[in-house]
Amino acid sequence: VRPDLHIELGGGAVLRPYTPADADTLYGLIDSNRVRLARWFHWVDDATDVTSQTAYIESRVDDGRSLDGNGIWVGEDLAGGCDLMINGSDDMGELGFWLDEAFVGRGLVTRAAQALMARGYESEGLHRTQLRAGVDNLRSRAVAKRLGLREEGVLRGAGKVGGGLYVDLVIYGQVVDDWRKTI
Amino acid sequence: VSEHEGRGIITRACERFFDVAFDELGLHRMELQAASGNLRSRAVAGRLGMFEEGVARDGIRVADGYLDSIEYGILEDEWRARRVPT
Repeated sequence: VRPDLHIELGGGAVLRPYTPADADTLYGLIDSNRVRLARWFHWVDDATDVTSQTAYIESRVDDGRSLDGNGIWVGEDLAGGCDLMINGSDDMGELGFWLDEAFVGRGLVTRAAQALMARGYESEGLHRTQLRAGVDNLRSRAVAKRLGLREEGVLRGAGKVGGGLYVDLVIYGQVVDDWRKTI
Repeated sequence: VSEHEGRGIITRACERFFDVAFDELGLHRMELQAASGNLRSRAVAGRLGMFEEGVARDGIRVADGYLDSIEYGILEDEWRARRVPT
């Protein structure tokens, strides 16, 4: 996590890391989206109470390299999250994101991901960005397309989701040279 | 070390790893990433019955640049099917 990260996304939306004081808000939003999110994310099962989210937020401090642990905030409201995990040894960043149902369709995730990718390539020396999305997660796959990522394969049964089930993941990737052509 | 190549040591070690991973650790899937030009590693993946699932472009950093990473995977039930004596 980068405690000083603060990116304006337009329309009053901001991407910034959670602080322990946000644990209550974060838990509340995950809990109210539990059924939707559990289709794609195993971490929903780990969000059992506010304390679990305090622990999550505090645990991310140990990873000082990744641009993660971020909330997308619209005014005072939490709308979702968007992270870029950094694998430094391969100069690679991996995107992850989710949204509250009420905030879907406004381009928030696309803008947040674009901002994180730009920072990854320009300031962090990343060479490649990747995203893995459930084969049936059409919204996430549409984001990948909007971001200019290319489909590179299908990792069978590689995604653990809520309830101990597994789904196939489409792997998307972009190399920095591709990105430069899009900006 | 080159004098030890070609004896199947890596393949046998991986087979033991897979047994432990699936039987004792309860894992669902094993993955291997090998650089596209690393034909020896890719042959090991083939001997282990792993499936080629994709190519992560420039996914592996080496001393003088980046190489495509071939993504291999095998699921628990596929491994068990291979281990049943015929």
